[in-house]
Order: sequence, then C-alpha cells, then structure tokens
Amino acid sequence: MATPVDTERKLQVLLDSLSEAIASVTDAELLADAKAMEEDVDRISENTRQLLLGCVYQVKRARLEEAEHAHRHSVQRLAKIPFALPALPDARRKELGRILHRHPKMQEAALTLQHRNFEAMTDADVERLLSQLHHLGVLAESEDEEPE
Amino acid sequence: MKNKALTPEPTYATEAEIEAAIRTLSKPDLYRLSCYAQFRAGALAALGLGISGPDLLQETLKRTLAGKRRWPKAVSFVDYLIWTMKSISNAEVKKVHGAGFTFIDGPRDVREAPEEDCEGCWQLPSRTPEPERIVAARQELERLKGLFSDDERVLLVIDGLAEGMTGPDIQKCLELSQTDYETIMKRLRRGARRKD
Repeated sequence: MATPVDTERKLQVLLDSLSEAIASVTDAELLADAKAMEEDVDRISENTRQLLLGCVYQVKRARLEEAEHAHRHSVQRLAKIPFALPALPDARRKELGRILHRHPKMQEAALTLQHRNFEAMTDADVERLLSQLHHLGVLAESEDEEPE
Repeated sequence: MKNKALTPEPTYATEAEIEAAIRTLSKPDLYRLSCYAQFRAGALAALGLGISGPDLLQETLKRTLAGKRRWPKAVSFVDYLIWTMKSISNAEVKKVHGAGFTFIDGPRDVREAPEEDCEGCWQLPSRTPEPERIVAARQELERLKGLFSDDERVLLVIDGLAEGMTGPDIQKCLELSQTDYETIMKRLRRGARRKD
C-alpha cells in the first residue's frame, strides 16, 4: 500500500515528467494542445511577456532607488561636515586657488563657464564658488588629500 | 602527451540582451514557458511548496538578472529558462526528499551556479506530509486517473511516469509504438492541465 509520502512524491514525479514533455513537444503540437483546450494563447503569451518585462523593470527600479538612496546619503553626509570659510576675503581667494590648483578640471569648468579670469572674480564670487564646491564634496576631498 | 582541445569560454548575456530576448520571444515560446512553469509549480505544490507557475518563472528571471544564474548565449533563451526553472525546482525537491534524490543535469554552462536556497523567497514545505497535502495529492492523482478510466494504457503510463520511469522505458515495458506513446502523452498533457 502506498504511504502518504509516496502519494505526494508520485504526483510530483508525474508532473515533473509532464513538464519535460511540454519542453520537448513541437510548437505546432503545443498550439494544438491550446486549441483543444480552448485556451487563449494570445492572452497567456502576452501575460507571460509582461510578467518577464515587469521583472526587468523591478530590477531596474530597485537599482535606481539604491542610487537615489546613496545620493541622498551622500548629500546628508556632506551637509553634516562643518563648513567654515576663512574669515578674510584674501584668505578665501587663496583657499579657492589652492583647491582649483588641485582639481584642474574643476578649475577649467569654474573659470570657463562663469569667470574667464580668476583674478577678476569678486569676493562674492569666491565665496559662492567655495560654497558650491563644499556642497559638491570637493572641499572635503581636498582636505583628505596630500598637498602636491 | 596529447594536447587537450580548448573549450571557448561561454559568453553570457547582459541585462539589455535579456530584455531584448524577452521582447522577441514568440507566442509559442511564451506559451511553452507558461505551461512548463505551471507543471513544475504543480509538482512543487504536491510537496507543499506554495508557489504558482508565474512565481517560479519570475524567480528564475530575478536570479538571472541578479547574476546568480547566467544565460550563456549559445543556448536559446527559452531552453535556458526551462533548464533553470527545472534546476531551481529540483533544489526544492531535494530539500524535501533529501540528497539521495538525483536528477538528470542540464547543459553544463546553464547549471554552473550552485542550486541556492529559496528561503526568504517562498514558503518552504515541511518534510513531514500534512494531512491536507496528502489528501490533495491523492485527489489530484485520482482526478487524473479518472479522466482516463476507460483507457488502461494511459493509466499504466501514468503509473510508470509516477514511478520515475523514462519514456523509452515505459514504451519498451508496455510495448507501445512511438506514435501510441505520443498520443497517450498528448492526452495526458491536456488532461493534467484541464482543471474542470
């Protein structure tokens, strides 16, 4: 007499065998099965495609959320770093010059896009640029680096 | 000493290639995946693992996109998904029946990733059969046999498959021609999927 485990296992093995039969039949046989069973192949196929595409979308969305979270975390971390500008305009200008010297690409962007000449920048421009560089995390990076 | 022929390293699909492959799957391909997943999930349900066909298919693709499984481009995408669904469900069956249960492997490239746990993804079955499960399994077997009560040959094929016999073994044992066996399997496939 079959034990309870046998019954479960027999059904499982039988269904596994039938799944393998599905894997090996031709497309024509498969569609003939669907027709005989009056199944809506168009609907089932489209639902299956949407299920798979939905999975790709979820993975992309999760990656995007992860990047957004990392960005928010980075902004929060930067906001917590104390930012103290040098008290005197000359010292601020000197500090900005030091940073731009260490980051040539930043210097290129700052001086080409906003101010054609470092010397021609006003004290307010220097202060604003230093503030922007702080928010970009450049000041923190510069402090960590060894001087050239 | 003979030089061993170097086997080229398989190339694996990127996420973009996977997405493109999904968009170009044909209607029969998609229908086949749906039916295959339905049977595999049914087999797992017989052991008490509460998942549906779409769950199994989705889990297979999620693992692929996460890099736990990789699709070698030399294998068709449908074959890859089918082998991977089989591998994932076999891993679950092994957990219930123990390591003594063996399966025929798929293509080496496809199955190179170890079979991982589904814990956290699905409701895991208990190793001890629960009364509801036993009753449900028995009823499903009886339903299937009931559909073919007038055809002794189909009933014998059901018994053979449920015992884990292969198609050629069943054919030989029951002296069935290839055509007869295919006709019986066709009836069985349709009957198993018909729920009314």
